[in-house]
Formats: sequence, C-alpha cells, structure tokens
Amino acid sequence: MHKFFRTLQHIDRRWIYLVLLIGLVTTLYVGWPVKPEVIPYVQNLYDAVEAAPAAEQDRKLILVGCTFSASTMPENGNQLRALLRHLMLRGKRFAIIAIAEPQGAQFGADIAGKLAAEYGYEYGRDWISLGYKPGTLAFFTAFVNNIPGNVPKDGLRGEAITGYPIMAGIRTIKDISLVIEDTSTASILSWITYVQGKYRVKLGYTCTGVMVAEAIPFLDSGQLVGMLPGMKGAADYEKLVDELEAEALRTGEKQAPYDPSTMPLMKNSARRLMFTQGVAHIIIIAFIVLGNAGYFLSRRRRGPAKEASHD
Amino acid sequence: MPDLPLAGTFSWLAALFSPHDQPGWFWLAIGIATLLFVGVMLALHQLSPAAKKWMTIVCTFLAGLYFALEFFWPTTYDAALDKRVNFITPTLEPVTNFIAIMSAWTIGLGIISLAMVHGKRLIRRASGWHHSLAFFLALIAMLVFGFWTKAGGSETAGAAAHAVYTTLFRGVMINLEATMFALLAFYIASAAYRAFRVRTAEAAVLMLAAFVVMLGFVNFGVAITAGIPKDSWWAFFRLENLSFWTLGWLNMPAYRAVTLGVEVGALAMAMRIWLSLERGAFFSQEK
Repeated sequence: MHKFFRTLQHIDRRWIYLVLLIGLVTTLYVGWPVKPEVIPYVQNLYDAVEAAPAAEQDRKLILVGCTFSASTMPENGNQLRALLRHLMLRGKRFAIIAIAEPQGAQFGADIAGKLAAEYGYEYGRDWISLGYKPGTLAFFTAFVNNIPGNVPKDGLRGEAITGYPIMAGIRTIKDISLVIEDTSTASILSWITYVQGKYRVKLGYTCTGVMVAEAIPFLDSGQLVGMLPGMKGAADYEKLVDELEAEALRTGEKQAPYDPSTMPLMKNSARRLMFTQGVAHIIIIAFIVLGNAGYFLSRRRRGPAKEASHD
Repeated sequence: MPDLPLAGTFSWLAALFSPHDQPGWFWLAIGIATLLFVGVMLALHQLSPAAKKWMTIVCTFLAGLYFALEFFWPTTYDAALDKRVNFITPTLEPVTNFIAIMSAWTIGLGIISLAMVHGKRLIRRASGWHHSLAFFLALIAMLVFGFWTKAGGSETAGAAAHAVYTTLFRGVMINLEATMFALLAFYIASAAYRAFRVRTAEAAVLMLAAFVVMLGFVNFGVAITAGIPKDSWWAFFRLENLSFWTLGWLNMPAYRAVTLGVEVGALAMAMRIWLSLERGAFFSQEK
C-alpha cells in the first residue's frame, strides 16, 4: 500500500503528458460549445462598444490594437473575432494597429479582412489597417497628437492614409471614441500611462488568461472600461454577439452575413475551445489532488517525522 | 508626405525624418544618411574614453529632459491644430521618427552580433554547429524572400517569391511559435502536479486560491456550485463569485501594494539612469 501512495506522489511526467494530450485532442474534435455566464467585465466592454460613437456621421473611429502573435492566437484571435463581429453588426467604423508586434498587424488584417468580406465591410470606408509600428514611448506621445502624421500610409496597400474616406476628420486621439487593446504583452500599461491618463480616452482591454490579475486594479479604478479575460472573455463576448446577431436576423434588421456551413469555426469557436480548456483544468486539478492524496496517506501511515526525513 | 503640423523653425527637421516617396530623393537620402552615419561613427571612435563618457551623460540627460518637459509643461489650445500644445509638442513627430530609425539600427547591430557568434561556431565546427547553420539558413531565406516580395519584379518571379515567403512565415514560423507555446501547457501540468504539495498552511491557502480562481473561470467549475440560487445570501459561495472576490478583494490590494513599491523603485532607478549615476554596462569597465 505504501508503494501505491508513493507512486501517486511520483507519477512519471510522460503519463501526465499523455493524459493531457488525449484530453485536449479528443475535446478539440468532439467538444461542444459551452453556455457561459457572462461576467461583468465582459458586459461592461460590450456596453462601452455599444455606446461608442463610430458611425460615419460621428466622424470618430474605434481603434483596436492587435498586440499579439501566433503563440496566443487561440485567446487573442477569438477575442478579436468576436469584437470585430460586434463592430460590424453595429456598423461601427474601426482601425486596427499593431504596436510593437509585427505579427499582430498580419493577424489583425487577416481576421478583419475575412469578416469584412462576410459582413460587407469595405476597406478604407468602414475599416482600415494602420499596420505595424515600433512600440516606444516616443511613438505613443506623437501618435496621439497627430495620427495621420505618424501613420502616413495604411498597412495593407501602402497608400496615403489621408486618401481614405474613413480617415476624414481623424487627426488626434480625441477623434477616437474607444481604444481596445487586444494583447498578450504589458502594452496596456503604455496606453494607460501615456494616453488614457492624459487624454481621458476610453480604454478597453482584451488579454490572455494569465494577465487578468494584473488588470483588476485598473478596472476597479475605472481606467479600463471593460475586459475580456482570456478564453473565458472571448467565449462570453461571442455569446453576446451571437445573441445580437440572432436578434438582428430575426427582426430582419440584418441579412444573414454568411453561410454557417462554410465557416464552421467562425461561430462558437471560443465557446468550443472553452470546453477544451475546462477539461485541461480538470485534468491538472485531478493530478494535483492525486499527488496530495498520496502525500497525506503516506504521512498518516508512516508518521510526519519519517516522511519529513524521507523527503 | 504626411500632413505635418510643423512650420518655420522645425519644418526642416520634419522633412528630414519623414518618409520620402520620390525614387531619386529616396536613394540620395539613403546615400547621405549612410555617409553621415559612417562619418559620425568614425569621429566617435576617435574620441577619448572620457569624452565618450561625457557625451553619453549629456545625451542621456537631454533625452530624458525632452520627454519630461513635453509631458509636464503647461499647454495652450491651438485652434489651427485643434489640440493643446506646448512649445515642444511640434517637435515630437520628427523626434519619434528619429527614434524609430535608431531602433532599426539596433536590429542591424543585433544581426551582426548573432552572425559573429554563430559564424565562429560554424567555421570551427564547434559543438552545436548545425544549429548555427539553421540560424543562417533561416535568416538568409527570410531576408531574401521578404525583400524580394516587397521589391516585386516580374510577375512570375514575384509570385514565386511571395509564395515562398508566405510558406516560411505562415507555414513554418507561425506554427513553430504556436507549437512552442502550446508545449507550455504540458510543462505547466507537470510542474503544478509536482509543486503543489500541501506541506504548510501557506501552501494550502495558495492551492485553495488557485483552485477557486481556476474553477471560477471554466464552466465545469461553475457547474459545481450552480445549485446555489443566484439571488440568495449563499450566492457568495458560488465558485464564480468566490473567484471574483479572490481577484478583487484579495489579489487587487496586494497587487497594488507590490506595484506601488516596484514603481517607486523604478522611479529611483530612472532618476539614477537619467543623471548617469547608475554604473551600467557603459561605465562598468572603468576603474
């Protein structure tokens, strides 16, 4: 029996890898979308997007930062997809920019481009890519004061940005009704320090799961209007946007933007991945519990002193 | 040329550090900049160590002073620009472009440094030389096809270069990066299993907090306490509520306290660097 208790404490890591691999792969293929309870941070960001003026007559834009790379695509990519769907459903014009992360410009433009084709958004009129920019203090301070001066050409076609209708009247950060930073880095601190604090621009945040704890103080202080925390945030937002889209289709306000059968991963992608993530969490917790069960049962049998000397 | 807010005194500065579209002027500017750079570097190389040190001190101080003044100096409303400005604000844009250009040079220095390290290893066939070979192949392939894609050329050649570049970027680099990050899930699972042993009361508290936050963010966890009515007094014990309470009431003040301490330290460090009191890499060789 003692040997069994010791085995529980020293399971070969290859078994852990194998169980996790089976859990992840199986649920990626046969998992189904979860029905998440929308948390307040997500609802607040959704409401901020709803309230942000960004129609043509408003002469304002929503700026979406794509500061992420391939490593966090499942989280940041799904967040961005849900967010842009919301903007497109509501007819809000937006610009994407990748500060300090070259891959972000590519991914952002890819996701926005695919959705734009489905939702009938025209490049240069309804949305635009500002491309990649080095993320320095100097850029932040200059960009907020003169947007076209610091982004002279767009990120997709390399043409003068002032020639696009969407940029008419857009000069400084005052012409941006909402900034949403989709990131896997600490870039939000630069936005808060150099932009939100000085110019009082509304700032939303979509981040990876491990960055949630650091953002809570800024949500509490009101410096961030809302947040999508990791995959959970993406799944919650996706649910809200799906409901909005279903309502728009039901009332006839919108026509079906795409054939769901041709884009099976577009809908429910975050909520499907949320199922997989949940399984992974349960597996990890199960192994931790097993290890501790072995530890305590072994201690009870041999006594604390012996166990301590053995360790 | 972009719509520049500068006029008069600083217009030449804006013109110098702005993108240029005309092909003739573009190459002339590159030639002048290269000559200027080589000249400045040669001149700096001739300076005595004491002169180099003082130059570094003065440049660091002026650079820090510039951004501090721009941020804190009182502003007035400029109707023409429709924004609040001070006397430094108009220079921000060319200075930003200058810093971006300087940052680009540092990438070049990084490549030279990497090439020297891996080149030596490759020539000597030292241990791990095949990794160095992979580095050179990857670097050269991405550089050649990346520039070729931008340069264009004939339709067939341009399309072929673009296809190769896309394969390298999307097919190889992005997938490798995603794979590396995905492996973390396995390491974290193994590390958590080994590290989380409840040997002390502190470890028990840590593990409990971790479980609550983890489970509060996934549906399986929320389902455990879904039976507790949302509008009852006991709703506090629903896992998602406990999770937010842990983050908002336990984590937040602790994080703020730590951050405050770190930022005060960072401020002191920034002052030391600004005033060149910090003996970093540049001055570390001095007696």
